[in-house]
Amino acid sequence: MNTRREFIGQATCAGFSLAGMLSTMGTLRLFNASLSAQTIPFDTDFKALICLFQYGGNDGNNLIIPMDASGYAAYATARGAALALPSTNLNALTLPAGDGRSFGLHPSMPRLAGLFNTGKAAAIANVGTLVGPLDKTKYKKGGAGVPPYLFSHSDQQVQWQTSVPDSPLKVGWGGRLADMTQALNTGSQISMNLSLAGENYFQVGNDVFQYPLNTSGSIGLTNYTSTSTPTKQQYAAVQAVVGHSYGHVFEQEYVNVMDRAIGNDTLLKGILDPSKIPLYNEKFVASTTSGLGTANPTLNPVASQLRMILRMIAAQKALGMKRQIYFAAVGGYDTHDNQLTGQAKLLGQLDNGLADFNQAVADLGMANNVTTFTASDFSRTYAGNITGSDHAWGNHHFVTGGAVKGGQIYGNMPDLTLGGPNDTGSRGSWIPGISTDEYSATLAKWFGISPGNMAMVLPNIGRFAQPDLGFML
Amino acid sequence: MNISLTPFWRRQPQNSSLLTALVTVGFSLLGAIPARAQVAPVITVSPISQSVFVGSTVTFTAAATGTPTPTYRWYRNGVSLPAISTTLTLTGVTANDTGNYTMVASNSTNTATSKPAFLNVVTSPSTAIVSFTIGDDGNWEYSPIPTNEALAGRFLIQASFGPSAASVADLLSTSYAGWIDTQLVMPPSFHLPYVRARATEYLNRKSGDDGYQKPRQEAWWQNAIVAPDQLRQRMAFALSQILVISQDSNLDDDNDGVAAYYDILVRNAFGNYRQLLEEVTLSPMMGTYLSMIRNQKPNVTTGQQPDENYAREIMQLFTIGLSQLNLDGSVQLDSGGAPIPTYTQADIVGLAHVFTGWGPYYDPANPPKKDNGTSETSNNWFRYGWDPLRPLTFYTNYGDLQTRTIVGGVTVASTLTGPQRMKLALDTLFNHPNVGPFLARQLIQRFVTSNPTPAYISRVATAFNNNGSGLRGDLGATIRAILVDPEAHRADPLADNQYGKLTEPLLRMSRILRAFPPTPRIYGASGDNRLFLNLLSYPYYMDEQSPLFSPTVFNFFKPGFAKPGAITTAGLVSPEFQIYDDVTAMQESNRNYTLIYSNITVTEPVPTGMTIKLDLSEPLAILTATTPVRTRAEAQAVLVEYFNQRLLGGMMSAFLRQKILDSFTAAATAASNPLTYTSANELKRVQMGLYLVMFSPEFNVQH
Repeated sequence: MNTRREFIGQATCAGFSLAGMLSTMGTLRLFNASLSAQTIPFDTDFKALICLFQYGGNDGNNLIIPMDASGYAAYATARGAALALPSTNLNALTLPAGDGRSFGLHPSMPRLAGLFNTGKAAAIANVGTLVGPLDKTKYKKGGAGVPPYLFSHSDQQVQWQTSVPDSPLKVGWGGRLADMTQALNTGSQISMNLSLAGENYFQVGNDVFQYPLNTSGSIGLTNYTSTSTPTKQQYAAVQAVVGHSYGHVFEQEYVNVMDRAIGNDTLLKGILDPSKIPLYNEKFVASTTSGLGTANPTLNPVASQLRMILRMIAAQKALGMKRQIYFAAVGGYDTHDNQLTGQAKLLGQLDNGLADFNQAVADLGMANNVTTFTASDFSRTYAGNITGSDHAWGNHHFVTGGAVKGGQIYGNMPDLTLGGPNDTGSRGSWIPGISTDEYSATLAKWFGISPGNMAMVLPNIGRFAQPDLGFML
Repeated sequence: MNISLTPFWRRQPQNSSLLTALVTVGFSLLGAIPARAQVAPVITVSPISQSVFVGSTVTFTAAATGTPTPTYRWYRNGVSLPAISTTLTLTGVTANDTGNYTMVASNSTNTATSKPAFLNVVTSPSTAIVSFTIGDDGNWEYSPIPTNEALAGRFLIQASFGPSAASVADLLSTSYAGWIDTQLVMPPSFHLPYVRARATEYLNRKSGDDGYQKPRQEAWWQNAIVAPDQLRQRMAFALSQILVISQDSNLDDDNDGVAAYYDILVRNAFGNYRQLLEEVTLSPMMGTYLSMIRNQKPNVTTGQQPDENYAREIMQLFTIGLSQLNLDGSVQLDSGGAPIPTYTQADIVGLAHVFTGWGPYYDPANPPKKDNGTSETSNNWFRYGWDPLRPLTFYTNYGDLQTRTIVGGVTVASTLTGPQRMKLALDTLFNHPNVGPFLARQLIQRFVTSNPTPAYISRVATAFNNNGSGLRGDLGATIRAILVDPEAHRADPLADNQYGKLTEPLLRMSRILRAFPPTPRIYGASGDNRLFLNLLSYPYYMDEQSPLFSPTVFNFFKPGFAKPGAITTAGLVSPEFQIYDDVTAMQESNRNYTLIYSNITVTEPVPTGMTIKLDLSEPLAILTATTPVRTRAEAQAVLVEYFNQRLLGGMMSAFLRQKILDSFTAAATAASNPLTYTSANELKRVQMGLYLVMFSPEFNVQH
């Protein structure tokens, strides 16, 4: 269900001052006009944060794979023929000198490896939902120290998106982030929180709503601009009804919302006219013709959502928006069976979509203004079932963009021993070493939240050691 | 999908008693049994549920076969009664006789239990307190009898899922109170039987897919649109928004369990709130949703403390709320002008201890069986068992039995058993003076107006506190007081901003479907309104509101939500505005557009290639009637007035009426492709008029 407003906690924001927050934003990088031939002006202090959610639980164990001889051998044994990827096809990650580790990316992800190796992407290892720091002893003890309903899709999706596993309130951290920064969007009548994937909890704020877009744009009234009879006359009457003044405050508020919704759609359709903001189909050619992508743009769900996001980013100045928070999502990662085929296709789409998008943003000269991060319900069991794997916990994720301090894996890869110190049981379900709070706080800091205000976005951050994992410049 | 605490093999067969009976019969047939062999009893006739007034005589009848001839025993809520024949007669019934009645047939080989029949004892209207006090402004007029179709429609918007031609005629033949009293004794339409039948259909088509919550959503629509017990179904729906559980949780796999929970609300809709509170508390669905099931006493080794979730919510949301209330719903203030809290954190901790030790239904005399036929132990069943349909059982090993203090300083002594502790806690909450005004306000908000006057709340709370026969918690008397109150029938509904409410999305949709049920009615004359779900397609629910599908225990909207802006400035609350925004406004308008203009392709249930649409034959006939002879303008005016009476309770403004008539004229005189007066175009006129009515503030705001 979308568009939830919970006013609980609003009081905690009362002490927040915009000036205080702005002073902590850090030095803005100077815009180098020579980098870009783009003709669309943008605000140099603009920032967009994109959550790319992998619904179903992406198997992180086949996203980042050990490449050293003994590590790979152990991997191949533990995962078995049904899940182990051949070592020869892995895309090696170039890690900083002295790191001493050797890992490769899934065979379908050569371009993400390229972003990583050129410093434009970072990996976060073994991140997951936590209510506080946790080890195996504490996990076995159970109780309030362990997030409720582990391994449940719906609950873990919510917990990833709210980062408050121990609260029943489904207010997302992207929503709270928007609550804190919405004052920056003074010139906009449209919500900062823009969803390409419908309802979600990530963007539900205490008073900021999510505004839904589809891959073609905004949602308005069906056939609203039709010139045929009697549709035209019907909507003329609608306009009269929403334009009329009503004596009863409930009736007036009812038409006010209708009026604004119709207006937002009309505004967006105007601003996003292709004569003003290009369609940018040419930016996603690789997504749709090469590798494991398909030839039809609409069939790469990552690319089709990121293309619309690119257009909205390009329109930020026209929209009067200094901040945008996006939610995009792709399903199908619940690979209980046929994982090798299924995950390869999904990760191939992700690889091309993400790489094309990052290049397109750089072409606009906005590389440093846009950060994309991945999220998912959970990882999957290291030991598989017959042709797939089951629900697990700690997972690996990527952050991309010009503002990312890339080329590194942040955090420790789990000890990949079945039944070992990081395993909740015997099948390889890793207890996270990094909380979603730490992951999210690092992004929120880049977005402009000062350490002193961070608890308003991530209420549990004080329980964890690293409110800044350091992966953002 | 969700973490399964219950391996599949541990699941209790849902129809275990039936299964037992069938197996028993099977044995007797298979074995080459001599003619005089003993045959276990089989119930051939089960008693039938009834609703009656206090003081009535009630007879239940059942029958069974068996050799030797069985002996019979009747039970009320599991407690045996003196009757020893196949007939049970109760004379002069009181509210205490409300409950489930079963007959058990026994012979030397075995016993068999009938299906339960529910007896609903309703307060007689002649003894109910109904206040006809004139309101604060002294000007309200109130006729106890609806004098025209518009007034009847207005009342049926409040009290049912929407006026239909039949229900308007029905109401016009009686009084408001008469209609209510007829509704109060109507037998309940339950949801679980429908859900089971449909889940079976799903499973027959595709193994492993029981339709998840879809059959339950279907059942809700079917009952909302065609069930005769409209007021009971409306009351159950209102209660489902107070005693909230949601499929948006790990309950999503249990369509039968969630349906059974809804049936608790249906069965007790006019019963007693104390009974309802107990059934809800001990429901495995509520137990799971608010994590009371398997809640355990403190563990001194690990330091683990009882879960406080249910203890908090039963007080905050189900019974007494956060602040001490006066009878009229106003908040009691201390000497410093601050609200007086109803409970402390220590009260929550105390109550959390009382709510320990309750686990899945377990009968030691007939324990669940493992695959290998051995009995499951109580301890294992507490930890891993699951029974979605039967009430929770108290497990002494896991329950706290220390002396604890709960709200109001009530001591729960260590001498009490677990069930006695539960009873004391529920009695304490139920008897708190807040419950009447707390529920009165919310129920008025669901049926009549968002901002009831203190006097209105006071009148309803008084009926809750005493139904006229000295009984507290009579929900039938409570809803009667709400709906016969003069404030529900204000003659000056637009006189001030305080009166009225934004309607709920589900009730707007049901109003249309009851007025113009989808056709063709392939599944019987009364229609098959589960077909409506095809309109919504995957994922088959209305985003902004669907039954038992709220995002949190705080419902879709809160009773105190005030839309920022003019409503807040006016000091009013507007609960339903919490789910009305840019997105839902567009979604609903477009859903209406599709509903009005499109043939909807049916994918469920099976028939392929079929389409359905709203039945607009009645308004079309009105527009095209040849007698009496009317001009086109007159016919169009009659059509608009018909919409006014049927859908708007007579509240159409002159402005809206004129705009609709103007749009007819504009379409007929359009420069290109004018809407000429062919029969196909007359339907288009009806559709355009209906769209504009559904878009209007008069349709969306109820007065």
